[in-house]
Amino acid sequence: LETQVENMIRTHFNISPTDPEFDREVDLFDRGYVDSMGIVELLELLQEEFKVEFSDKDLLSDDFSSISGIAWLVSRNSQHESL
Amino acid sequence: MISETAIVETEVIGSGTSIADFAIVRAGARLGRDVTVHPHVVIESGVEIGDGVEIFPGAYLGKEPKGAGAVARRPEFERWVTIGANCVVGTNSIVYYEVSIGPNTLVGDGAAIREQCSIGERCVVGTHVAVGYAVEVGDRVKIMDRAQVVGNSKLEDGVFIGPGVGMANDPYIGTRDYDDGHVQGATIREGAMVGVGANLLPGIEIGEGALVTAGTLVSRDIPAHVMAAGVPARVLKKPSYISEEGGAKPRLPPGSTP
Repeated sequence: LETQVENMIRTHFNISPTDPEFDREVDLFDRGYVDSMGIVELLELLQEEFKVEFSDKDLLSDDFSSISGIAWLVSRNSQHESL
Repeated sequence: MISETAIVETEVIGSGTSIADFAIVRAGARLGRDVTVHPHVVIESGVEIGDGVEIFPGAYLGKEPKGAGAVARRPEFERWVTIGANCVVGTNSIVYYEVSIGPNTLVGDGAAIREQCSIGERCVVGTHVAVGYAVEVGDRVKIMDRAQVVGNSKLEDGVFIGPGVGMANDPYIGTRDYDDGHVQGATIREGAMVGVGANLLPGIEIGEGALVTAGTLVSRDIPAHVMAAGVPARVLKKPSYISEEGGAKPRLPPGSTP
């Protein structure tokens, strides 16, 4: 799942494959990989691709800032929905 | 110096003040020292202009609001205006009666400020900004070009309103009689920032230091120190490169003059 999220973000936000700073823990928003317009696009992409919804609490959490955190939220929220 | 073609009915004019061609200054207006009144400015009775103010051509200070039998809210006002020291009032701008503007504030070209507004010091009211009736604006607030601040709104100190921001104040879109109870604009707390082209629906509150990103539609209250983005807005963490307290910074330190 992390790989899927990473690929989605790398492709959509044109992140250089050789960028040494970019990894699954980097804060995508603080480090400027995804801007405020991009966050809204990312949210839509995630909802469409993984058929998940995010609560206000999810979006304000520290998890919703890195690839690993986002993947974790996606996985948790899709489990909730399948229950 | 007072031009021969100017009509000047008041005698309250401070030293060093100049009134240019075809300007009209009515009886009961009061002009401080070193005021510059450019051509074709009209200053009505009851308007008080502070020291060092410069008023550009065609500005109209002390306009009576008129309902024309068409507006739902009956205009109410007292016949006074105060413009603080060292303000600059732009070309063809309109300041209605019962408006106070603090010192060192810039009113941009073509801006209109309706009755019962108070605007603080060191503010920028940009080109063609429309400020509706009964709006309270704090100090160091910046309202950029062509933004529209709807009646019954409140903007606290240091708020930033981007260009072309729109606001609504009537959840019933004019289908009911006017009532202050339901016709409420936005309340924007200290240091909050609203990006270009965002739209704010009636009665919402934007918390202290919050950031509303460009083009966002704010349809519910936004907590302090977060970022709101999207249509309709979702609440997100504010990026760390935007300062915690937020807010527009004054260009000059307090106490200095331009």
